Amino acid sequence: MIYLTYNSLDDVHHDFSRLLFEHYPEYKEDLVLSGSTWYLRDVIINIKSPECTIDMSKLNYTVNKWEILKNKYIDFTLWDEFKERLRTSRSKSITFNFKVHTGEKDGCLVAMVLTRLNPSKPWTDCHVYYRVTEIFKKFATDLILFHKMWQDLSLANCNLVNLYLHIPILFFRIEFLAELIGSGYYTIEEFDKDNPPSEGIRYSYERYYGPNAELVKYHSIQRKQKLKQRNVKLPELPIENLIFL
Amino acid sequence: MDVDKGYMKDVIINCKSTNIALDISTLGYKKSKWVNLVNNYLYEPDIIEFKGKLDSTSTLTATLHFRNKKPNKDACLVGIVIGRSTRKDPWDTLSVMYRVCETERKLAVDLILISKLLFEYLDINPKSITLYMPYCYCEAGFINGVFDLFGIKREEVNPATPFSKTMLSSYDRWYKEGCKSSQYRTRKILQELSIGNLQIEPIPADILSIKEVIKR
Repeated sequence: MIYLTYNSLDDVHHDFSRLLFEHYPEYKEDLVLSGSTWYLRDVIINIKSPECTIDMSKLNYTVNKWEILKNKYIDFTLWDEFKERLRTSRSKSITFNFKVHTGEKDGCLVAMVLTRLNPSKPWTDCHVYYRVTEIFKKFATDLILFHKMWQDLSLANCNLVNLYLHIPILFFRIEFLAELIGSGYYTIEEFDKDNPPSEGIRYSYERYYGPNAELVKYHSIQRKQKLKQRNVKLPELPIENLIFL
Repeated sequence: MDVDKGYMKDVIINCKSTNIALDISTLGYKKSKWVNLVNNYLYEPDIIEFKGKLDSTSTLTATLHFRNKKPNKDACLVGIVIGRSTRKDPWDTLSVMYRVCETERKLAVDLILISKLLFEYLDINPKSITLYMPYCYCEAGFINGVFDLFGIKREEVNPATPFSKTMLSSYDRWYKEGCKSSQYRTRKILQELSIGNLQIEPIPADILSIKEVIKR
């Protein structure tokens, strides 16, 4: 069980991505490597404020990703009903279920539970249950979603002081980090430590995005390689420009 | 841990086995409690579909949402996530997601439900089971009825906390020999259970079955 506390969503994005690299000895007993992916089990992250300035374009996403993300997880009719229940409920806990997905893969986000100890006061704590998440890219976009939800909930009798993310399994995909280093979002030096994950990222970065990298067959990586070769920068997507409702 | 009047926030419990040998009659429950629990949370087609997914998927985690038949109240159990370390490994971890949990009695039957779900339908024997509870609570008035089950001597309870004060005063009022009978149904059951006037035939966990309830 790994329990971490951060002051803001921004801090989670900045610090948690580096955790494995900077504090590898502390977590190596918990880490499982499969292929080029590192897994951690039973992670709980406590976040104290909704401050978030992540620009999705820097993660190589367009606004389409945002639209897909929010509509994939939130039924906005049920969201409105949920907010009304938050205003009128006399309960101490209440559940919002993220959309249930059919097909082989379940949704990464399962449900959200809001709690308070005093039913005559605003809701204070929010617990988000995950199935699984990928830390470098997908989790970052989830943080944007949480920022928007946090803002919207503040209009529905919520004064959230804690967001808890319960993550049974999270994974670090080395290719995703290599992509973000290749596009200039991170530098290789930030992750250049003397440990196995760092060795993995150096290898992956050199292979896909280094000066002597060759185009690979895997479509998703090849597309990013071509963006880098052409030095394409996606239009900026400041978080305040993303529309939640 | 924030303890106030029996409420605890952010509780995470990890255990290593689903073995459970509890007799729910010792909690004052009849067989109908088990039937209601199964019918409220489980829908067999969903479970069978979920089992099929576990057998065929290449992912490392899968989710089963519990259903909720009560329209005006959210279910206490939200869902479970089953996990494994690699695609070749057997499913070996279980995360149970709660909205809220009452610990002196309902937690016990929830644990039997989860154990039976794994054994009867999913054929999984996890080596790590984690229960996530945003908050849980213990009814200070009701725990007196089942207090002896927890192996704590009443004399050893610290009377200085708000919770134990309420608990001990409730004991004096409702659970001592000669106390007046409560009109409140749950308390009345626990009163009678406590003084030995409630006779329920034993219902050990091993005779409880989800399939038996669903086949009815």
